[in-house]
Amino acid sequence: MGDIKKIAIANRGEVAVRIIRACQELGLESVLLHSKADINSRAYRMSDAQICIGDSPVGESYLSIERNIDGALAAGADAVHPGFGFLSENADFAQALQDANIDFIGPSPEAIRTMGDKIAAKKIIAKANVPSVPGYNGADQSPEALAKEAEKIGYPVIVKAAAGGGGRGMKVIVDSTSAIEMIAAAKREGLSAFGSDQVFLEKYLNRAKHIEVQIFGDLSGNVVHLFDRECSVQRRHQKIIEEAVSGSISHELRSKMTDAAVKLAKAVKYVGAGTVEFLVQDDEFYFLEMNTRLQVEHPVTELVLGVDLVKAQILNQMNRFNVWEQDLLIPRGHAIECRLYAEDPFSVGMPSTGTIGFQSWPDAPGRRFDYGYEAGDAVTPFYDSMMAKIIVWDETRSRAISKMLKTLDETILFGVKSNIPFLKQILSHPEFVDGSFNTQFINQHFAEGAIPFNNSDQVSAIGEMCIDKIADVAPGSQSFKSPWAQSWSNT
Amino acid sequence: MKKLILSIDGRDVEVLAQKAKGKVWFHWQGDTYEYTPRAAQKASGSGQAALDPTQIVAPMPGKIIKLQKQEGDSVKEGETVVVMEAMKMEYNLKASKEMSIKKILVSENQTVSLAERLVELEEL
Repeated sequence: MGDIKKIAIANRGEVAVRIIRACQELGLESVLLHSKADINSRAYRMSDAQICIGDSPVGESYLSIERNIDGALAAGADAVHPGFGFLSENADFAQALQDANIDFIGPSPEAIRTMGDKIAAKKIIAKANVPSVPGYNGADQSPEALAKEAEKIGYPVIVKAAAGGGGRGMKVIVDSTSAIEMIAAAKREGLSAFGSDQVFLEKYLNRAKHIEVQIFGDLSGNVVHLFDRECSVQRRHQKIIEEAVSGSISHELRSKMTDAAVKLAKAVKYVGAGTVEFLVQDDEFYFLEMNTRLQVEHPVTELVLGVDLVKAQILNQMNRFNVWEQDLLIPRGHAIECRLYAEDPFSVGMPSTGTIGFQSWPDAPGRRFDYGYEAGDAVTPFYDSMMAKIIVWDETRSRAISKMLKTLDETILFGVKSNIPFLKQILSHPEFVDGSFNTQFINQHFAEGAIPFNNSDQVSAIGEMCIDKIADVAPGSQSFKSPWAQSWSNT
Repeated sequence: MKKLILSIDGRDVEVLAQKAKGKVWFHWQGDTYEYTPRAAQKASGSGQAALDPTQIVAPMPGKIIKLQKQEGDSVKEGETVVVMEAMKMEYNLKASKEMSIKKILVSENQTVSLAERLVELEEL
């Protein structure tokens, strides 16, 4: 821990861009550790230096501890920012960096090991008297033994990868017939996404809201909370829309939850940015998990509080940060984030890949666009399908919803299908608008994905007219990409 | 990308459009559409493959994680035949009606491309 001049980024896409921006604003050099597939990406073009650490499959690049360490050493980096996903919650990676005398921008390997391993975290939780959901987190990991435990807890039961997050390696088991099959699938997903097939079981709360508390700890042991975010709009446990602060909890409940989160962070001597996730049902809250890293949805907190969590993470690592005073953190207005996934919105999240032919982000007051691809870049099947995030702020929740709808109307993305039509239908749904939605919202109202457009005659007519009037472009070809495209963003 | 003024039902409307790989992408009244020209729709019989119950094709590029059935097995409507992974998520590819497995064309851990035929089925 000390002076940092050069930061290696062990990530890709929009979060790599976010970290590069923070480095630039702090006058630090950024080095992108990337895979072969990501040579054509915005983070590659924006970073000061780039080191290719391996092939496109994640196991050969972004998930390889060895290759990331080698890359950071070759870069001469003082610190590594892991972003989220990939190795961000991998204690072995944090330890290996420490051994190589490189700072890991995040908590200690011990804190990651304790809180990142959701089984160990549950034990700490019990000690700190924070309520948690009934479940099984024992050592017997055979699908048959787990299925028996699921029976004991009582269906529905959720099976989760112990090292997981972001909805991967999670399955809801509704009855005993599919139990073993689902447990085996969760173990495989855990192994492929996080390198561990350890899972645990929990009773599945079927009309709960997902509400989480952002916390931040400095090196002197001070911990503050940065209020809450509601992330109840989820499909297959993958968040789609997030807000700060939640519009649906009372003052009392908020203060109980934030107190619990701070208490927990202090118990593990937590340093840096972290998130304590809770499920809330019938005015009771239950600990879900703690994420020992930056979250995808951190921008909504940044917008309502006027803070910069990524710069805070970096400055904290340099011991140049005194954490914010709790009393001065007062949320103002309302922020909403929509995640743009590369998928067919009308067929239950079927991924869509391809080359972006054109995109336009409609900038205006209170709108923020975090994106990792530009025209000419390919969205490949190797990585998560999140292409970008749109975040808006306004004085009230209903105005923020209107602003987001308008922003999505004006956002243009050609070449890869996106979930924008789906996002708009969610934002316009009465249950979303009145705030009564819970984590079952998508299952209940959009089980088949977005409702298809019913204007095919007009679409054909316009499509045919367009064909007559425009020439073909070959994405990525010389004639399509101007010599300046490398350094110009097309916003 | 081109900005076009088109006359629709006697009204002028603004459309942003781009052609790529034989398709047209356009943005009109707040929504983006991917349109396959009528000529190409007829040529490829687009949509047929997905509806054909006698085959299971890859709906996206990815990897075969698990084959749940063997050649000669029968499957019920909605039963999972192949588990695929793409973009770090698993997807179950199911039989669209009660059939039997005629031929399995792929193996576990194999990487497959979009629309690749994975399994052939036949009527019981």
